[in-house]
Amino acid sequence: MTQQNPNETLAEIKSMMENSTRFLSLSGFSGVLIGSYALIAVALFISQNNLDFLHLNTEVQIWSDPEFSKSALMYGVLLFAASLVTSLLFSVRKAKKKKLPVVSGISKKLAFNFFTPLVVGVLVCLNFMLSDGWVVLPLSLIFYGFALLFASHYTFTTLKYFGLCQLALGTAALYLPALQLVFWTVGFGILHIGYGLYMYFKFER
Amino acid sequence: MLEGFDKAFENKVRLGIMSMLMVNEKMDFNTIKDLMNLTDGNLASHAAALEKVDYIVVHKSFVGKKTQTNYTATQTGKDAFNKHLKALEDLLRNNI
Repeated sequence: MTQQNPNETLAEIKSMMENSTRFLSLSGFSGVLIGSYALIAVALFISQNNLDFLHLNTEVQIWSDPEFSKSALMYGVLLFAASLVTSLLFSVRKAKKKKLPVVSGISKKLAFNFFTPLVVGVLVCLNFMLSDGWVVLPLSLIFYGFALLFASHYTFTTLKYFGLCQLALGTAALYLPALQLVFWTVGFGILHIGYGLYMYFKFER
Repeated sequence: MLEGFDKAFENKVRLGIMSMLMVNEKMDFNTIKDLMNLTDGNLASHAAALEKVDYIVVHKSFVGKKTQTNYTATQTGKDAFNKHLKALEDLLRNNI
């Protein structure tokens, strides 16, 4: 065997260390798609319920209206499902391209850290839906932010800053409830697209 | 020029196993196998070679009816790896 280039060997060591501690097959492009889904969902939700984007009525009555809460729930479930399927499909594709496993000790840790805060968040939001519906959108941003923050330990570290932004937006939405649709659109829509593009141009091109 | 290089790490697979165990407290057989696209036999023989020189230790346990094999790096192994890494870096520095 000829002596291997030490540069290559060091690069290999680094990649082994990374691949064994972090799941790096998340795709930036799927972030762009997820953000676009969110923008479409918000647009449809607003037009269906005749909402004022810049000044949402946060009174209890509107949320306890079964038609309204049913439509909110439907959009939430559809958006969540579409986003999950999209990110899974793109991750599987990226992992196959890099010849890395999709289901491994690392991706299981990532999933556990991401879904634990998320499942708790869903249960909390469902509980508030009929009594204090106006907290649902801010809380969904906050719990999603925690999920990203926890998950960032097992994937790209920059995901941490993405999570912190969602936490900031969610908290702001809680204090300025009339503007919550704006904060939510920025968090789930525009930030996803922005972060997705950043990741795509940094790592995937 | 080859001073400090460890024969045990000349092989890519062994170097890979050791790299993973430097940053993970422990790793199981299947995760290592999948990450490096190895066969059972291939990984087992390379792991055995590292075990023989006391660079790693094997823990076998039962999860239900299946056996689970976990590997951990020993202090000897970690020191050897760091020495090997330093030798690589020195070589790089002298070449430039």
